[in-house]
Amino acid sequence: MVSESVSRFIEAEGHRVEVTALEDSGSLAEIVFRTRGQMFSVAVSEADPNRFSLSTAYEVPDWVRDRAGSPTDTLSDIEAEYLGTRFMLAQDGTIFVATLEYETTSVEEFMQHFWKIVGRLRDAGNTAVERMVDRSESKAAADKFIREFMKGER
Amino acid sequence: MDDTTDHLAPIEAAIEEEGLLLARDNDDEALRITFKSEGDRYFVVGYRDDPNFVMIGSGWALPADASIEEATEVANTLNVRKKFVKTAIWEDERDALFTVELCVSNAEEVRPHFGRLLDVLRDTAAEFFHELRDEGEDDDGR
Repeated sequence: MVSESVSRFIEAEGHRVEVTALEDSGSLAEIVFRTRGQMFSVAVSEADPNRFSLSTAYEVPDWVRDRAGSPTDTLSDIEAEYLGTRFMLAQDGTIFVATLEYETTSVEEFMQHFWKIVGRLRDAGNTAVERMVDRSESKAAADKFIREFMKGER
Repeated sequence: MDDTTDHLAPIEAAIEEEGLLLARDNDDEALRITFKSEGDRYFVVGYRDDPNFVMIGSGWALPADASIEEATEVANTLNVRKKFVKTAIWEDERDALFTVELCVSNAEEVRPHFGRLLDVLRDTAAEFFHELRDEGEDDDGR
């Protein structure tokens, strides 16, 4: 089974895994593991054994939500920069989920590139958080300037 | 083994908190933990007669085409620049060793910083081999 192969591989690489069946049929499964302080999940389908979906979630900082409105624009920009990565806001915009779909010729090939794929998703997620924070800071500075300007103090 | 002298237990807990599997290899003199992260092997060593000393590290074979002189030069550069990590070249074995050596009152002090220490070990090894490749390419005039 694909889920067994992938979970055994991740365990052999030193990581504890939790496998959850997502359907009664047992066709879909989610393998959860932790690396570098971050939880990741791999969704696998026995019916489609060469497609894998790797996901991880990031918190949207409170002050980013309050100041910048929707971070959707930032996430769209990063999606364009990291092809194959998709972002989705969840839990009322308090978090965003980064997902990378990977299609391959075999489970073995997926495992061969596994940590590079994890690294790519991590880079995309971290870049998104950094960009959100940057934009919020520059927007906050611009807002402050505009407010002061409108008061005629500049 | 006397569990009362198992002063590495907090580090074992930190490794588990990182979501990693581990193995113990203790004897009368030393406490040793080995574990892997993203497929790379790491170790933690403590001595029963020196509970204030804790070492976390990883060891790597040098590439067959790398010269000891170049490896030592890169190691020296990293030793000047990197926080926490000591890079050493074990000439006889042609290995590069990356270690964080700490003096602690209690290994519990290491626990909240364990992820960071693992990151710097990983980053230093990656940088070492990257710079070693660059040195080799420079020498080849590539």
